[in-house]
Amino acid sequence: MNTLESLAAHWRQSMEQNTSLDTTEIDELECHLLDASDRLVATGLTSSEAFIVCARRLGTPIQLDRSYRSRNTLWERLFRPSVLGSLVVLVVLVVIVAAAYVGGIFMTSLVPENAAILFAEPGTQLRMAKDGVYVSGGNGGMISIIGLKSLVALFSMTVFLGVAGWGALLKRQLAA
Amino acid sequence: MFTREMNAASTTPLILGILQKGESYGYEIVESVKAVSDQQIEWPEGVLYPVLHRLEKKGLVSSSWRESPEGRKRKYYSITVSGKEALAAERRQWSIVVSVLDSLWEPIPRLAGATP
Repeated sequence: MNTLESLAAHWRQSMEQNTSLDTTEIDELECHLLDASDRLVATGLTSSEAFIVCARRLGTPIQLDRSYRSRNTLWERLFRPSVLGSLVVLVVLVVIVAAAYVGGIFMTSLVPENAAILFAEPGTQLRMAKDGVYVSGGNGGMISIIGLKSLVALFSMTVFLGVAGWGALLKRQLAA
Repeated sequence: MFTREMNAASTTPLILGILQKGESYGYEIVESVKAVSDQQIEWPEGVLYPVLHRLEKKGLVSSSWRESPEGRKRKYYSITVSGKEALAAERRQWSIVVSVLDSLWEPIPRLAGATP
């Protein structure tokens, strides 16, 4: 393998490892590099020198990856990042709400009515109110308890905000 | 040199304009644009290909892999019928913009009697 071939192989490997470009996209860029190198060889550079100069002009794998991805289809531009992003947010929210709910159910078993307790200091006194259970005692702190209805309202609000946020994100990306 | 917006607007008509003269490939397209514009338009290398791929997805250009005279695997692009239509539409729009700007930017006649 001569020097130019090993340089080209090294460049290819770096592109394969550091970009999401597929094989034919890399083939096309490699052909571009070799075409551009030929031009520099005609001005007196060695083929290896020319290849190195051209590879630098073409850009780093990260720069190339960015320019390829930024011109992707509407579907990829709009939905891939936001679908992934909002799925992650949704999963996190569901986990938080589920944890609060399960915790609430557990704590509810300690009190007479259907109420969910999110936080309660040990030794606090519980007393019933119209739409939930309130605590007193401990250090005198209270309202660390949430009624189940409030929990449902909180969940709906979270979903609503999530959907609205997602809509705003899509709208902004459409305008971009 | 050009603003980002200007680059974005002019890339497609430039590429289609070059391909209308005959099939070509990435490196040659970049060089043709440089030559025709007297080195005024120089695209950052590597930016052209994503645009070509987008034009291909839209059906404005088609491509085929062939061996180059140097024995390289090379992707050649040519303009399609809808590409020619798109180019004609671009041409109409650019002509209007150019002629309007030309008439707006003509030297303003000096007011009669004004001191130099």
